[in-house]
Amino acid sequence: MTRYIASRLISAAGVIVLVSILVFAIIRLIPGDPVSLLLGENLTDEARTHLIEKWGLDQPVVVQYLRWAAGMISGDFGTSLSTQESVSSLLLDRLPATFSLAIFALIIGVVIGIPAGMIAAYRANTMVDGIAMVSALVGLCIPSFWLALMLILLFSIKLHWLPVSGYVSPFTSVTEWFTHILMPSIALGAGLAASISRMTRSAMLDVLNQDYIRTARAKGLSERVTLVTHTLKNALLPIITVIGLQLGFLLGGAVVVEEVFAVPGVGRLLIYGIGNRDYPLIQGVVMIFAISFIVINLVVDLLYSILDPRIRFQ
Amino acid sequence: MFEPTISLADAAEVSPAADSWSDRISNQIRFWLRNRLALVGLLIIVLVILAAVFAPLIAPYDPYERDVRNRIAAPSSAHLLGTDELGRDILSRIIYGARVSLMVGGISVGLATLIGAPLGLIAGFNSRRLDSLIMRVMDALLSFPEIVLAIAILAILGPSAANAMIAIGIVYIPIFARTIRAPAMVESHREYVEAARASGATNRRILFRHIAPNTLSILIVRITISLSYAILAEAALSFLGLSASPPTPTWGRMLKDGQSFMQQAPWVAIFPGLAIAITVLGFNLLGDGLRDALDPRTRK
Repeated sequence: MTRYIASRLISAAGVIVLVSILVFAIIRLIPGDPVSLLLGENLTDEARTHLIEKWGLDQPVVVQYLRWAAGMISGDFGTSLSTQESVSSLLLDRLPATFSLAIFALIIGVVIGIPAGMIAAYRANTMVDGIAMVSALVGLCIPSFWLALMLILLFSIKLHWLPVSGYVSPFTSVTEWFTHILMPSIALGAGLAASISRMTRSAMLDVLNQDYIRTARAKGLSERVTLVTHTLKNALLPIITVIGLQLGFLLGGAVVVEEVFAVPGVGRLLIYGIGNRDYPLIQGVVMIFAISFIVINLVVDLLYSILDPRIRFQ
Repeated sequence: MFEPTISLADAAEVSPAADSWSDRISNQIRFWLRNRLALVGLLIIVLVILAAVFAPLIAPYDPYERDVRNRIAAPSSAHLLGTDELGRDILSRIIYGARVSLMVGGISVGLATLIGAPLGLIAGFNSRRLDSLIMRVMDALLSFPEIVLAIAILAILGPSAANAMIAIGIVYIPIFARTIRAPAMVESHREYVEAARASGATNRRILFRHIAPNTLSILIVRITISLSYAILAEAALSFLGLSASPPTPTWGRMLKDGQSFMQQAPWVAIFPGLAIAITVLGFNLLGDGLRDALDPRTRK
């Protein structure tokens, strides 16, 4: 197991290095002078020369990359051109909102998706199955930002149950946090619930046809035990694959949903960065998204090996 | 580039491939009748394409024409889906918006196919070193959430519809490379490849004349499903103001504009969203149907 974990860690580190090269290249690929892009254009010659020397922008590109990467490892993502604040502190301020949104959306996706898929598989080819799968297909086709607007229309404008936009930290008020995060999470989690329910149904159907399920039923186990302990447990691997893959999409989807609900998260920071041509900020946000995605995939891979020991011996 | 040796109907059939044209046509009819959801998907897509192509003939109004006396007018016989904040007819803008969605979706997926599929073929067919090099770069690209990578690319290129096509295309390249690599790897160990090699065929010929056609069915399914995601991605980028600039009608931008008028005129946002959902549903239904029909495990 230790060897497997070590090999996956090395592989993830390799991907992070490749990703960091791509992110570092962003500014070098933009037409124009990368120094001006990094430092801004409203600087005196003296300040410009000072910053070029301080940040090593007169050094070869490889040295610049190594300095940038070393800074990143120590938590220094540079300085935002538009706010003059440290990108790391901007990220740290915004990450809790994005993560709480993504985690809550994940919970909604799992809580709706797995039971819906289980019921659909158990009642396969009945009306219940049909309704569940049509709902899942619709859930996959609806853009999260449109669903977000429809939720606002219903729950905020018509019923006045939930606030239209904004975000409150759970450390300030748990109730306020919940009411503010509920609609964005539903908008983001609906597509995930749809994917999970489709995969759960398919994986459960595969397992339900196995001989050991017939044996479990024949020896008198209750349907609940047969479904949850014997069927779901063995169908979990592909379900976790889908959850792992979709978590990346959740992070991406958060960019748009944060914009609709004015959630002050990392995604909104990215849009702000693009609007202000703030390249150090864009680099920092993109890198954080990529690292989060890689870490999620790593955790999913390690979960596989716990669920299915055959994987770590391959 | 590819030389198809199988048609969809042939691939869906268990019986040997038909020889005559009448057999081929009856096979196609049987294929579509057997896959009714795929047929529904195909009909939706055909309707959307027809609407986009014949937009000037179908649209009741000029999509750019402002009518200040009719701002945010509710749906009526004059304006079936109402008007927006500038008095422009929403139905006409949705019909014209289909052009941008289909063009960005189609060209970006085309770009991803033209670059990603050959990369996957080469990776699956060649030495471990080249395979490893190509796939590590693809893994790095896959390490970004799709929309974040597209936004990062647009940060380099600048926001526009043309650049959105390039950005979405680059995002999908690794997906196509991965999809094609696995079947290319399997096919490259088959006997017919050995036979081609023994008869003196070059690697290039083996790859593009013999192996590529046998990955075509998988490629078709991937293209269909990717089109639905590409249309969603374009709508998201438009919504964020990173695709075609105003006043060009795009479904995502129309939704964004409608957000400000949700209380007074919800239809401004409702109908463009429905247009996106129905189009995506069409591609998903077709993709699901084709996948079920072409997958030997689910083929009946």
